[in-house]
Amino acid sequence: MALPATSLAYRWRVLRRSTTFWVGSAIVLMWVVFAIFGDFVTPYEPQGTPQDILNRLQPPSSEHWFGTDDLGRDVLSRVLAGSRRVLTVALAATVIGTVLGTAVGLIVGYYGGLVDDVIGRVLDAFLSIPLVITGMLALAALGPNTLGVIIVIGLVFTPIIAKTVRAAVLGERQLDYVTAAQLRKESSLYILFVEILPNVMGVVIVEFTVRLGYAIFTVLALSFLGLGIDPTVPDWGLMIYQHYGYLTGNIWWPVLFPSLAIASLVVGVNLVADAIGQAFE
Amino acid sequence: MTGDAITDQAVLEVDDLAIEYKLGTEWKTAVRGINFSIGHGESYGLVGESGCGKSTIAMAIMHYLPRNGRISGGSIRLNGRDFTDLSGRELRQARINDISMVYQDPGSSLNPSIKIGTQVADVFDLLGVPAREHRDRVLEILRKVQIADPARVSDRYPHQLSGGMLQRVVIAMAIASEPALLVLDEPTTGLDATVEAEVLDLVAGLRDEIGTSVLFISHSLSVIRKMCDRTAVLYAGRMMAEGQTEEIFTAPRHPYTVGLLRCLPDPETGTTDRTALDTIPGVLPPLGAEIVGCVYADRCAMSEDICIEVEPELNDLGGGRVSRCHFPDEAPNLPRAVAPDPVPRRVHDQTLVEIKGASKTFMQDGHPVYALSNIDLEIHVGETVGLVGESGSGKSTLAKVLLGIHAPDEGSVITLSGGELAAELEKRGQEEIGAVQMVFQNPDSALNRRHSVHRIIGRAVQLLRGGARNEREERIKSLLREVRMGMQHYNSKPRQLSGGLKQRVAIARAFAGSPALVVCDEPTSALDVSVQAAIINLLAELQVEENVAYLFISHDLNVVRYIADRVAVMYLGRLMEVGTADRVFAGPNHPYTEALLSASPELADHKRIRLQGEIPEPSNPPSGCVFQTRCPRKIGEICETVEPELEEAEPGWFKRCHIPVEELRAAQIGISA
Amino acid sequence: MSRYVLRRIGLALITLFLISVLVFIGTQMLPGDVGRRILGPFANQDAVDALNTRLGTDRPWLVQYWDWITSALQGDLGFSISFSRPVTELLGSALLNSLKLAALAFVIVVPLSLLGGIVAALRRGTLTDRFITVGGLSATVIPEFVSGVVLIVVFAVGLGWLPGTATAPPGSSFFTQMRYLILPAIPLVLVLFGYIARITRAGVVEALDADYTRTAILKGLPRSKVIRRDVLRNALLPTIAVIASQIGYLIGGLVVVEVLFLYQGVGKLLFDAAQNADFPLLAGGVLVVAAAFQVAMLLADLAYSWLNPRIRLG
Repeated sequence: MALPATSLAYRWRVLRRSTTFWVGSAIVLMWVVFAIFGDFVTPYEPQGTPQDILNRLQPPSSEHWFGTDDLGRDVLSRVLAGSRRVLTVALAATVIGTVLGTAVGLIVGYYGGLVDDVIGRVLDAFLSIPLVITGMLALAALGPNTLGVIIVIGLVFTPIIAKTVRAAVLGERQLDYVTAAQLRKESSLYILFVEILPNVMGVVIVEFTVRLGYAIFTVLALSFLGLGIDPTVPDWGLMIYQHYGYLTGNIWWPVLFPSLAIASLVVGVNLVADAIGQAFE
Repeated sequence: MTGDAITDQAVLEVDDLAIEYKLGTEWKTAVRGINFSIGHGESYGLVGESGCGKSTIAMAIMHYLPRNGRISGGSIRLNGRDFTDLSGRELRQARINDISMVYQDPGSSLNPSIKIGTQVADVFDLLGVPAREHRDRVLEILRKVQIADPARVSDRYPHQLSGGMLQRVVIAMAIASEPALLVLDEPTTGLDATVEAEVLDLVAGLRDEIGTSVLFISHSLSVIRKMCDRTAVLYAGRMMAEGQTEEIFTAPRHPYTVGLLRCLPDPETGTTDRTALDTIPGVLPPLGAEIVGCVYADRCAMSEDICIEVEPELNDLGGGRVSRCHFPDEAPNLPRAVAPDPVPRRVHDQTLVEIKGASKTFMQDGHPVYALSNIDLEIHVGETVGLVGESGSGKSTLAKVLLGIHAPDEGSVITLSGGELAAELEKRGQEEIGAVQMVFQNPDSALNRRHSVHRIIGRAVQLLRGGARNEREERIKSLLREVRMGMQHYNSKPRQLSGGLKQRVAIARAFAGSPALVVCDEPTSALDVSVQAAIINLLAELQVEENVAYLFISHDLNVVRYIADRVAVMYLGRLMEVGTADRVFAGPNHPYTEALLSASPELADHKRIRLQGEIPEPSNPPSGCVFQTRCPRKIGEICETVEPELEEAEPGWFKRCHIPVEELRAAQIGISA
Repeated sequence: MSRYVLRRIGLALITLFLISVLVFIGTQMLPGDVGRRILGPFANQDAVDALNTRLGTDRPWLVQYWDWITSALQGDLGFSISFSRPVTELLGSALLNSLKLAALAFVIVVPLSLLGGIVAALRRGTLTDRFITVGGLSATVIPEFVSGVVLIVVFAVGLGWLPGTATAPPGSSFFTQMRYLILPAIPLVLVLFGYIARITRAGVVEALDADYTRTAILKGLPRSKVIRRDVLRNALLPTIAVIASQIGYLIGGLVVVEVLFLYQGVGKLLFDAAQNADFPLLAGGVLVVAAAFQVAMLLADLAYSWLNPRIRLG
């Protein structure tokens, strides 16, 4: 049966056939499982014990598949446990950014005029300051604060998502069903959220998945810079930060394995985002 | 082509052509059994509604099917050579020398970043003309398509020129090589009526001059009739009939052709013996559907068992006529789907809406744009006022001002049933909002794709009428009945509905609050001919049932003549002529109306009036009478200095012209054939 | 056109003003007061107050902002607390270093990603296309420090072909300096490639599908000319704006890369400033960086409007 092109069921069928979607989902799913069940799966305590210090910087062996870090903790366990923080923070931040960004984009796109110009300037100003730098500023102020990281990233994503949503809203606004709604004196809130929003949902979903990848990227970049995180929490970026100095001494394992973990997760998320983007084309 | 001796060999021979499209993973047949040939200097038309495959055939002939299309059978021969089996170089040579195309949308068919002159010069470059001669040849060919200032146009970019001008440029590029075959795919759709007439005349003239064969593709029966020697009628990817154009139109021998012609209002009948238009019930088969038997059988009022079981051949009826029908001779007696009940004109003298001195000026980049100037118009209860005009006339702006979407300038007064109507929508009460509603041109854009039918109508009922839940449900159901839609569509989304059904939903929505006036903005322009008739009939019936008035905006004068009680003609924001439909279509008319009427292909007994120049910009109206820059009947300086008033020259008939009506009568009535 | 230019410049100025306000507010949010931070937690309050008064950090925010912005416009961005040198001097040399690195990355990535996007579009739907698109996009999301680390492990520690830090010994030739900068430039290239290639691809695809391309081909023009003249001219125009907007990500990447490769550029400077809560350096640095970004965007916009006949001629 030929389904009309834009129905949800059709999109799902396209998605189902996409290799990138399945590969990406598999990777992401794996890390999600580790994030949720990490405590039961790690061979050693990620937090380590004080005695571990005697065992520091051991190369990969049969007891420690990924070796030990500079406090003697098992790298494999910390890598598995590290997925939790990055996924929770990135997800929360992306959700905040998407919700706020969609609301702002809807309002600015619909009203246009002065609202558009003014808010547009403010958004542009925000966007001129690279994300990492804004993060640095905020977190230097806030100190180790996970909630802070979530909010900062979420707030910085808002203008980016707002811009995309605004463009989609501008396209919808020209269509006659919006005029028809105005002609029956619908409230602006109704027009924004009941008439227009369902038609830009596709854009919002695609933006969400793309931004998730960037959120992960940014969370890790910030923890690599030592910002916003408690030094004892297992985190891939932090682990690299704490150990890249040892590279000159040929001690590569505390750095390489977290790096591979990061690469796999971000690529996985990105493959899924790309597949979803294709399905919504 | 030039230099060939005239032989019996046809320029284009299409033999049993079949084309497939890939949908998802399967190849589906889109077009099948196409057989025709075009001789030297002949003009051949392909006519049909949406989905009939005419553009697909054109693209196949040009060897430019999209990546998911392919020719699955038959052959195409151009000047005797198999056109589907050419090498890349040979194909290019054929495109340069033998075959050219003119497209539907000239604005997008030209490269926006390259000057016109350069794009036209390409053709000469490909023909081997030395570079130093390019400019002269370009100017020469632009003059040939009646561009008055070719040097200026040549130096411009596409976005700086009007649609009509751009189409001339495309035609110039196409004929520069004096091709054997010129393919035109809906070349005038989207152009204003007067511009369309100019372009069609140009094409006809060039064809006579150069002797090129023409393949003309259009959905407009009247345009095909005007331009083509022979015609083929297509339906759902099959050829249904072919023959001399005049015969096809005056003595059709296929039920589909008969049905189509009956859908059009007959320009011959007087306005007093108006009858309901016939329609073609049912919908097109979906693309690629495998149908046994005649593909038209399920919509054909005279189909028999054999029609469903066996697909008819293209039966030769002699004299070059063919018809794919088992009973071609019965076709003229095709039973009607809609009884030709009289649709009498009624008298309307109670004033409903009065517009006085309405003006609207927009500001664009600091410059004022005078969209409306001093409009005085009355609309009576239950009548249809037809509003006609080309781009820039202000007819859409007038509608929006009436509806409250734009607030008119100071001093404009609009009254509804005696009470003044607030200028802005926000200030109007629920009753007023419900009283004045709109039906839009494009049903795809007018309905929210994510909402179901019952929600679309229900919301309108809720806001324009109110009432308790079960009352509203009742009202939705009764509205659906009124627009002749069954309950099976109650939960459908717009994408599951055909164009005609979508428009019915839009009409139901407009009637939710029992309006007194419905503005219809080109309500049938986006629909196929067979569907147009059904919607027009529906609107006429609803008018009688609900005693509602219509402001009917349309560029199709034949439809306006059918449905309107009174007609108002607009040009550059002003009313040029207002009167009863009878009076306006009988004449004599304002010179602009005269030109408009002469441009309409259906009402073709008026002598063609050519208008010079282009429609002026609303931001920069001419001095005196705004039409004076193009008026063929301009009498002198007074037209340039003094803007005429809209005066009642005869009872109930108004004109904005300095020429006295007796002179107009003498000049015009004497000329019409 | 000139009216457009004026309007655009005006908008840029307003945005710059807003940036300066945002930056100022942002840096003011750093905890504690400046005097306390310099003298430490054990100094007595009077000394701290005296220092604050001397530095002028106890005045109302509006006054401090005015002071700061007016001096900044005259080229004086204050005095760095942690480095004890004028901010402008520090920024000057750091900017130069960062510019070298950024320029190298740019020179590599722009032609590469444009080419990638064009090839992907011309071979639409094939494996080459998917490889370039998906591969490019995957590379984009890999954080610079990850790719940087992997590169260091493989090329510096493992194979020993290239140095693992970015700063060449003083007095090195241009060529030697470049050799030190290659490894740090690669993560930047990877991050920028994907997005530019994808936008280029989209632009080329749109132009290929456009009606005017159909007209050109049906005229009989050879495909190579159509692509070169008709398609690319329209497709590459929007990429100017995209490339400019990517400078933002470039700057963010510079921070990470310079820290990782121990390179004294603007990124590392800002990082150190944030670590030390060095307000004047931080504010001045971010302002300059954001301003540079805005100027780049402005130039790109103006270039675009010049090249696009619709805007140039109105």
